[in-house]
Amino acid sequence: MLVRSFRIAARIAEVDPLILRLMVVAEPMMGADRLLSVELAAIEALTNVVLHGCAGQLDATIDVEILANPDGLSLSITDPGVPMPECFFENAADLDQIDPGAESGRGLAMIKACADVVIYTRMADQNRLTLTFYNERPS
Amino acid sequence: MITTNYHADGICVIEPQFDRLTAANAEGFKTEVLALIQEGRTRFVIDFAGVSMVDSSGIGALVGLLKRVGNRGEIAISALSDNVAQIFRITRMDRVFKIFPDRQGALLSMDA
Repeated sequence: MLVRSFRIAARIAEVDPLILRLMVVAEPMMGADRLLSVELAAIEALTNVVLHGCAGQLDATIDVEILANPDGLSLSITDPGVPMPECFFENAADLDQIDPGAESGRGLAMIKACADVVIYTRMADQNRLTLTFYNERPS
Repeated sequence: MITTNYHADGICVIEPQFDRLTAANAEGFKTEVLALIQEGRTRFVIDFAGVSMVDSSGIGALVGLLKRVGNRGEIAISALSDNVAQIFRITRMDRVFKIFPDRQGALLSMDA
């Protein structure tokens, strides 16, 4: 069930203000111990879209939806940017595999570590990343 | 973006003047601290009191600063909020940085 939708310009300055608005909506939907995961995954996903997917697209906009699930919430992020390679998320390194001295490249791993389900699809000219968070993490 | 004050033995205490270290400001933060390193400062305490969020860009900036200081000096982190401490654990940065509950503990450790 759609709870709220947002649209921002694909600019890095728009990400943090959107995150704060997202978290106001998400807070009553998730346990306190899961909210950080929601916030962190959302920041990383949106930053990735802005800096990589929509880089150079001055007029691009990003749509973000929060959907309520019976046992948590989903965030759906839709953008018109460059699509990710196939299986990019599946093949992304886990945080344990990333060189501690790396100055970049942690974003996808952080999304995978925080979200319980990550689904990336490409439809028409739009990318859609859906992140699902359960209040009770599957063991 | 940051304020600094200098402790005994030249330890520079950095106080971020923002509550979120993310892609929007990580590069600027790093640039300001790099300028201190280029001035010859090598020992830092970064006091995260008041910082509620650090994303991968912020982590990357901190790692970059640690690498720039290298063996010539050290960077200690203090006063992480519960959330930021969790982020450091998730990203394994608790194994990379010396982390202290408060500024004083960090300073005492560096003075030793």
